[in-house]
Amino acid sequence: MQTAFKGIKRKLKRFFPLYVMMIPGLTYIIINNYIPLTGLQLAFKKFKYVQGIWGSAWNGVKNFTYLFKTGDAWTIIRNTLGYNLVFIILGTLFAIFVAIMLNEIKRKKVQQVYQTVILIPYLISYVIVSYITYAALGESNGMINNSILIPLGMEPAKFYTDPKYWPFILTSVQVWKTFGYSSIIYFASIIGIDKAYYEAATVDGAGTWKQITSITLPLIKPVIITLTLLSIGRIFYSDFGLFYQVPMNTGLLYDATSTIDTYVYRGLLETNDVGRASAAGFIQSVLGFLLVLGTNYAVRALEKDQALF
Amino acid sequence: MKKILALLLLAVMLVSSMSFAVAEEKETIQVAYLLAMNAAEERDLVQDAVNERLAELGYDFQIEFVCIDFASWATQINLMLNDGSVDLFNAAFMTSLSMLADQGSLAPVDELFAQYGQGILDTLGEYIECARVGGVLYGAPKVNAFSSALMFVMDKAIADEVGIDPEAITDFDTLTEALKVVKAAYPDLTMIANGNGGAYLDTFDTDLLGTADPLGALMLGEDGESTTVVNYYESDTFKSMLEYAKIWSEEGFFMKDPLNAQDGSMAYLSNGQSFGSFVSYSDEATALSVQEKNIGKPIYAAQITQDAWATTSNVAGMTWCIPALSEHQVAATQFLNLLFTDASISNLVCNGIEGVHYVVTDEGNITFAGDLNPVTTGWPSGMGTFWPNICITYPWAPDAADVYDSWLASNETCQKSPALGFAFDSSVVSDEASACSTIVDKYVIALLLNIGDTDALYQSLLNELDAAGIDDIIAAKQAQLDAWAAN
Repeated sequence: MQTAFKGIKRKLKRFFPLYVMMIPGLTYIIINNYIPLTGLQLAFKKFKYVQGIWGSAWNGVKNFTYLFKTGDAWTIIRNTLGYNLVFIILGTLFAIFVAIMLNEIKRKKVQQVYQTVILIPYLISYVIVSYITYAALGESNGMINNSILIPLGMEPAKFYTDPKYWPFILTSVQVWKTFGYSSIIYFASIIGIDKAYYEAATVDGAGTWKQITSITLPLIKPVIITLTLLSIGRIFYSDFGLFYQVPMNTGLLYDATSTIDTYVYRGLLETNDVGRASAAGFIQSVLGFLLVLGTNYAVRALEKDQALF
Repeated sequence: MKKILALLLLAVMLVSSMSFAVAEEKETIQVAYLLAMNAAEERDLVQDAVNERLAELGYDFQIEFVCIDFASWATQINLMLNDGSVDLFNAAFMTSLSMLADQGSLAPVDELFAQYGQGILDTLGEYIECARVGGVLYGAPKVNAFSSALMFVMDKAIADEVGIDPEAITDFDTLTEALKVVKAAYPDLTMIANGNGGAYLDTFDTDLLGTADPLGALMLGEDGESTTVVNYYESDTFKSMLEYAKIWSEEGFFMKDPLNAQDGSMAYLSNGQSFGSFVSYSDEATALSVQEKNIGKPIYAAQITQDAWATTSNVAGMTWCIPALSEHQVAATQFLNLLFTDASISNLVCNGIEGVHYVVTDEGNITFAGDLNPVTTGWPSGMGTFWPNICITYPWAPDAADVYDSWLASNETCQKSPALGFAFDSSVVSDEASACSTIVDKYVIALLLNIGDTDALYQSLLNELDAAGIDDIIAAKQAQLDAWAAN
């Protein structure tokens, strides 16, 4: 006990400047990330402005019941989880594919041009994306109907009134918009791989494909696992812009486009109910947290070194 | 270098803390103001003039305008309600009054008004009852022509050219016949413009009982005496609208891609893409005078429904309230009282400063001063109707000097809903209400535009509303209404 305390004291003395340097960052994290956690109690309270966060009365789980009032609960959870799973799988595959392709481009100038061009969709706001989508899918002026389907003698498709098209539309838009950003991350870790591995592999007669499967992929596996774990943590959240702006909040499409976020937004838009909004946030963050723990546990069971914690 | 920087920072901090110390000498109330165009630049000008007038009248407080633009209005006000940084605001474009009251964000004003707001009570008369929630008064509705009837406004040039007589349009049938004539002459023109997201028709002849959704309503057009709350979507009024919607969409009266519209319906009249649009006003003259300025070209207005009805929702849509957390509630009430009664203060906030923004004409109305016009002017920007009492200010030409008298007269003569003054407290059925409003969003716009299979969609609407508990909402409304009527 005595020695342990001494040890701490010695460390404190020795690393004192480092601890001081930690204070601003720590303060920021505490104020910005930990103090707001006390707001989670609002999910179980009937919030009154005059009484404030701590003074408002508890009201059990009444804030949660509206989520399960209709059959919509199943639809919105299915949509949120389903889309996010598809986005994680397709998005990761596509991003890794593009990152490896980028790495195979040998001319530096060309590589830089591609690297920049694929980032552009990521930088466009969803409001603008929704109009690009509308320009393609609209009924009276849309490109797909008026320049492709009608000249081919086919029936024009009513994209904005029929939900069946939207799983494909939303997935393509999401992958198109985000692949650039995520492939840059993978690309960055690929160029960090020691070139000596590839040189040795070439000497041993391994082709490009063999190099990719035996050197590149195994070496970027930690990055893949980390990024996937991070996305799983947000699996109960959906990109509001994608699900609200891109379908232009069209009622008839709700079955295919409603997620927890848009449902809560629509349900509470008129009421501005702090308690029920916190309840939705509570479900999203707590379930996401449990899922991250679960996935990390699964990763650790399979490969101990790759787990985050 | 670092030392200089540190000294500079210190100096900035000192100066800023000093300026704080100087500003706090007189009680100052913060009045939220909906920003239009470039009014912010002239805020201080009008604010100083108002404060000068306050000092002249012997009040020992001053005001400060907080300019908020339309897009962030509701969010910004909500934040300010939370920390008491606003003292007087118009609860427009926000959640309903009963919801705000239920959250405890509004100050009860019964006693404040009795003591400091006699002018408000005298001006509004019985209409102030509409700002009462659960027996407690929470604000003062702005003075307005409170009643509303459904109107159709149309492009005068086109109507004259094809020989449409607006007088002959008195209901949906005569409107449909007239629109067929115009459509034949202008096959590519939209007849009925819709607004953002596809909505083109307000509820009409209906008392929403103080809520925004017609989930449980009094159908005034079907029986103006009845106090039986019914399901609006099962009413004959709504069913007949579905029949008209079928005819109108088959005739091609609606816009192309109506669901993707991103503008207000009047913009489509303004830019010549549509012949007409539905609006709700107390009478044809008011619809004309307001919308002609808005659209910027000559129009006709034809009243479609027979009576103009005054309901709680119409009256309380723009109610001036004092936040519960405000520390200056007495001063705020006194200022609100002046906004209702003092013509010079009301003119300042509604129209700007005489000689700077406007000049009074010989006819007793006002026009832009110098070479200002609706675009270049700063303060007025057409926002007069946002303030508590435009009816004691000068009207803008070409409106006659006595135009507001007709507004006030219409409040005396209009039909009054038997539930006028009753506002539903929806917190008891909030789960059902949010579930139902999502379902309404899902179907109703599509139904009224006849997109998809109307009969099947209508059946799904009714079934889903049923499952989401619309009957509970109707029963709760009925119970509260009966209790209210008994008092």
